[in-house]
Order: sequence, then C-alpha cells, then structure tokens
Amino acid sequence: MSKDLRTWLQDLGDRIPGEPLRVSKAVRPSSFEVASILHQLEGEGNLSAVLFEKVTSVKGEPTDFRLLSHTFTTREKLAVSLGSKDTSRVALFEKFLDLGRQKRKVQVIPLAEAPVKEMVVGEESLDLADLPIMRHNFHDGGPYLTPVVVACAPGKERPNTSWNRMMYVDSHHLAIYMSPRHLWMYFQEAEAADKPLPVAVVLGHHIGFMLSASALVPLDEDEYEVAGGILGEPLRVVPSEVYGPELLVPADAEAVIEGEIVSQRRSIEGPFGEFTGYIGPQRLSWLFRARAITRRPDPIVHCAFAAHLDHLYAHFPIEASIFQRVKQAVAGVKDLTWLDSGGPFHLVISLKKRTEGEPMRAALAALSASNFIKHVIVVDEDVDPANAREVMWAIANCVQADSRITLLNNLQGHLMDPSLRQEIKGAGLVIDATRPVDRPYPPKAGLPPEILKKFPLNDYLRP
Amino acid sequence: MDIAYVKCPQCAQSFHCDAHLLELTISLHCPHCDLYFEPQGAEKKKAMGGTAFIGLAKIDRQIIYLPSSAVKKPRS
Repeated sequence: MSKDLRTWLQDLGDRIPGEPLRVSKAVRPSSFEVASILHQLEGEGNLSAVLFEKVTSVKGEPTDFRLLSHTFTTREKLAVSLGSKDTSRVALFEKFLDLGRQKRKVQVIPLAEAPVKEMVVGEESLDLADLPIMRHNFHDGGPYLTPVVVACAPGKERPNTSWNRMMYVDSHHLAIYMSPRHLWMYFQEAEAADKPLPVAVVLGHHIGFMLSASALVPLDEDEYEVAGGILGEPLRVVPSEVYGPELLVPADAEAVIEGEIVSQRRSIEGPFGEFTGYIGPQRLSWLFRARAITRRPDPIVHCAFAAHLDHLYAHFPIEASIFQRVKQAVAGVKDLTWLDSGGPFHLVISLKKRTEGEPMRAALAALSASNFIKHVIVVDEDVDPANAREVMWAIANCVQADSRITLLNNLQGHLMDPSLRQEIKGAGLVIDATRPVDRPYPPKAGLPPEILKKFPLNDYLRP
Repeated sequence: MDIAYVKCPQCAQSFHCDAHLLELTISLHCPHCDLYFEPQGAEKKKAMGGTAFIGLAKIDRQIIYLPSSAVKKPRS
C-alpha cells in the first residue's frame, strides 16, 4: 500500500496510543469552531493530532469531508512522519536530511488506479464554498486553506512544491500569498509572457509529503523526487484533469484543486495570523482560479493551525536545513534550535568550541542559511539550546556586552517580521555566550555523575 | 512593513492593512462584515519596499479581483 494520509494516521495510532483525538460532533470550520477547539487544547498543553470527523462547508452545509490538524506539534509525530525511532531533535534533523538526499523518481500510474481521481468535479459545477475551510484567528480576512501548491516553471516539467496560504474569495477564486521564492519566480516568468501559471493545490497527503514541501531545495531540483526520498518510496502521480501531463498531481492525495494563478490580476488578501504569532496585515496578493476538484470519498483536508505551535513546527525542514549549513561551517556544532528558541526569529546554537571565532562563524552560517533568523545566540555544548533558563544563564555568565555582542546591518529580513518597517532588510544580532578558550575560566558548579551515583536519592527518601 | 488601521464604514470595526494600500485606488475588504470599500481621506503614505515584489508597474482598481457577490460601498 502506498503511503498517504490514511497510512500516516494508522502509523500514528500504532505508535502513539490515543492519537489522533477524534471529534465526532459536527463542527463548522469557517466559524472559528475548529480553531477554538485547537486553541483550547494547545492552552492545556494537549498537542495531539485532532481529526474532525464531521465538518460543514463554508456554506454551512454537511459534507463528507474530514479535517485534520495539529500534525506537526510534537517531535514524536515528526518521527512518525519520517519513520524515525529516535525523537531527539538532532536525530530528526539528520533523518530528514538523509531521506531528502535519497531522491526517488516519480511513478506515473494509470488514472483508474489513482485514489485522488475517484471523484472529479469540473469547472462549471465546482464551488469552493462546498469545501470545509477553516477560519484560524480572529481578524483573519476569511477562511483559509493551508495547502501544498505544486507548479512547474513555464515550459518545464520539474515540479516545485511549497506551502502557500490561500484565502477563500468566492466559488472559483482563492487569494494566494507567495513569498519571493520559487513559486513566485515561476509566476513572474508566466506573467511576463501574459500567461497564467497552472498549479495543483494539494489539500492532504502523508505528512512526510507535506513536510517535504517546506524543505529548502535548490531551484533546479525536482521536488517530487525529494518528496519520494522523504516518503521512502516513489511518489505516485497522475496527469491533472485540466492540464494533462503538463502538470502531474499526487495520486494518493486526499483532494486536489486544479487551477491557475491569474496573470495581470491581484486580490486583496488577509489579515492572516502568521507563524510569528502576530496577525499579518491585509495586503495585495495574487489570484487563483479553480478549474477542477478531484478527490477521494470522505477526503481529509489537512490544516496547519496558523499562528499557533502547529504552524511554527511545520517549519521543521527549514530548521533541519539550517542545522546542515551550520554543521558544515563548524564541525563542533552539537545541537541548535530555532523552533524551540522562543522564536520565531531567534536561533540558539550549542557547540564544542575549540578556538575563538568559531561561534561567530557558526552564527554567520546560520544567518546566511535563512532569512528566518535575525538573532543568534551561541552557547557551549553543556547548555541545552531549547532550555531558556540555561541559555540565559550562559548569557549572564559569559557575556560582556562590549565584546561578545555583534550587531549586523543591512541583513535581508523576513517579510512577516512585524518589527520591520519600510524595507525587507533589517539588523542582525550575534551573542557569543560561550566560555573563552584563550584564557582560564572558572569551572561550572555542580557534582559529577560518579559522585551522584554514590548517593542515590532512594537511599534517603523512601516513601 | 508599516501598517495602518482602517475602520469599516459599515460595521465600524477596525482591521489593519499594508499602509501602502491606502495610496492606491483600490477597495479594501472588511474581514468582519465582508464589505469592500475604498477608504476615504486616509493618510497618503510613501510606497514601501515591503510590497515591491508584487510585480506590476501600475496597481489600480482594474486589476483587483472582486467577487461578483461582493457587498461594495460606492465612492461618495
């Protein structure tokens, strides 16, 4: 059986008893009902995946769709997605990077064998308001899909996959936001020739496929092949209904909206809750026109819960790519975290320092790897980068502000950073909170394991 | 990017937008009541880098898609 969202749910349940949580009561995603449930679960520290089994459409009518969220919120679930037994952060980085290198060519299968082609809705009869689309945060401009979007460069067959938020506009239109990366470049090229850009909007697939879409992959790589690597098997694909073999779509997806990003038109889009935890402003975005929907019976729409932990942790592949770049620059890097730094624009690196200057080299590698990073704190290997108390302890004890803090100007920033004003560039900060190795420094207080072993607590504190 | 808060003339609730939008002759969309309206008397601001990558030389109401069902307040 090929991997899909259903096999992922099966694996999840086998590995983590009690997951996913199932909500059998009918809910209306476009009226904050799903968001309210997820928000409260997160507030209680319950980060289980949640499968909503009865969801209504944007129109408020019953559907045969289901909706799944909170799929990225824990490392245990990432481990299920990657087929990893080890759930440590570094082990997951290495697993993801290793799988991504084992690219596999796609397997084109006959239309009749493709689950996603079991039901086909053509342009005349489709209505996007028949879908269950979630409204994530108060102030959001409308209901939003959080799909993986597939597109090929004009005249090319190599697919790009990316996450793009898409706001419901009307029966045939969604507003799509594109960061200035690969999809945006493809559209620029198409629009320069006054042509639309065909895209496939994938509403649900194995979480490994969804993760592969946020990997930092060079422009010239086939991202379906990367997805095959992450899945550990070739991605099965079929020609799209509207564009044929020009645009291959994942055969094991839950549902796919086929359509195009319209040339010479734009749409008002947003506000939208971002991974930063802030609501991004209403802005000009691009216009997507739907031309067909293909789907399975009882399809599961996957939603990353925007502006919440689920959304932040969906960026795990980027964190893994940063780890790779920093490790290449400084071999003594032991661990790092962006997503658990209290972020979303901080990075904490722990390393075994051998010479002065290595912390700055590691920090610059991170800053060059991703514009998600603007503040880098470097600590010694005995400090857990995800433990804010330990990191602050290192800063308190190892930093003199006039020599261990470096400010960088004219750094490319991130469009979603609410502190940026008129430009996409801003400032960077590096804090070297490592102990010096070029002069004597006091040892860390505490007791070594060999002494602790002599005095086990149970010998003194019996119930 | 710099943002501006806009008050909806229909429901009186406010929302925020890219401040650059206020210098364009386009409708904004109230997320609270679905009204499309062109803000009146808004402060004019200098174009900003944050939206430069949108990619069209001229942006006006002709290029902005509005749903046919849009509740739209006419210019006064």
